[in-house]
Amino acid sequence: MQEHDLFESEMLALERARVALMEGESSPELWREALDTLSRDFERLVREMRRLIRHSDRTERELNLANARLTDLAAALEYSNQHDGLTGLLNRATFIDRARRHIDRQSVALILIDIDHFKRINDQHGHPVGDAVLIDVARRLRQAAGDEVETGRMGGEEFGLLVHGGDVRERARQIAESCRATLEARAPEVLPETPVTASFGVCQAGQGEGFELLYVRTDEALYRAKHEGRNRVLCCPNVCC
Amino acid sequence: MEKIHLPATSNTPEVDFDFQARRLMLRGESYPESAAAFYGDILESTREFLAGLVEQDVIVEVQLTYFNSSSTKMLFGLFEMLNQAAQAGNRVHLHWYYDSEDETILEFGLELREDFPDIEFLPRELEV
Repeated sequence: MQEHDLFESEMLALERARVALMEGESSPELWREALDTLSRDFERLVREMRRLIRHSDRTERELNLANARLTDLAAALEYSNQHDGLTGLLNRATFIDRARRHIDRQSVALILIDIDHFKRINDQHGHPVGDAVLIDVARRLRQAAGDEVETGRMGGEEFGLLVHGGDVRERARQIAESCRATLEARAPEVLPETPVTASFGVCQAGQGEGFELLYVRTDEALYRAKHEGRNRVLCCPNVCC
Repeated sequence: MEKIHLPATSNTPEVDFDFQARRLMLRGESYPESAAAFYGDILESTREFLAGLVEQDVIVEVQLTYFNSSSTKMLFGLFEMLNQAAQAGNRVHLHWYYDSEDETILEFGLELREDFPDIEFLPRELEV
């Protein structure tokens, strides 16, 4: 098998021209012939090079476009991987992941929220209305809590807020109360005759306490809020409030 | 002449050059490690085949979805010899397949028509 080169014919043309240069002294005819061949080869090379560059530019442009599409797609995938599809809040896994990271670095308080009598809404008005209520509650929680608070959907009709940095204890209590009052003040648009309220458990993480224990204690506070009549904010005993 | 049949790989196209039937086909993607090594012998055999042709029809089917720069250089070599065969009195029919959404391949084909006017250029649109 012969060894091939990308510029085989061009190298051959060059070689022929060199030979003609060396040997053509006695024959101008040989020089003319060699120059003619070389100029034809050169012309072809220029034409090919022009096409090649245009083709390569086009391909590069297509690659850039494809790359931009992929980047957009990756960002969209990352977003949907981190957010709840219905409400747009952080999903449970991402919320917990962020909570763990905050707990390692600074003071943290957790607020767990459960919509009161949500099952009734679903049973009486159907799941599409239930979904609309979840979306409405999520939007109002996020507005009332503000951008500095991580807001997530923990599952079903349960939401979580994570207050971090500084005096989280009092801030978390105020945020929870503000959220509660916001929900109580106005019924969701989809159910204008039915006020929707929620119960709140609030708890500050103790020194060195992990997320799991904080979650259990906050859930207990939420349970007590439910038990004591709903539509209220209850804080953990001892560490918090 | 013996035909050349190479199945497609992840970076080289399927090659089916049936010299006896005077039908040459390339299909797939082309970005071999060395385009000169991959196409060198194929082009050599094609040159031999074309040299023995007198007033014949040759069907060339190209359905490449991607080819890198060095493959392009080798393809120019192939079209150059096909064009010369056409100038020598043969009839070369180039079926140029392109994806309806891939303008790059169509544009490249149209440039081939300009550069190699003795080859009959037949654009063939593939439905996506």
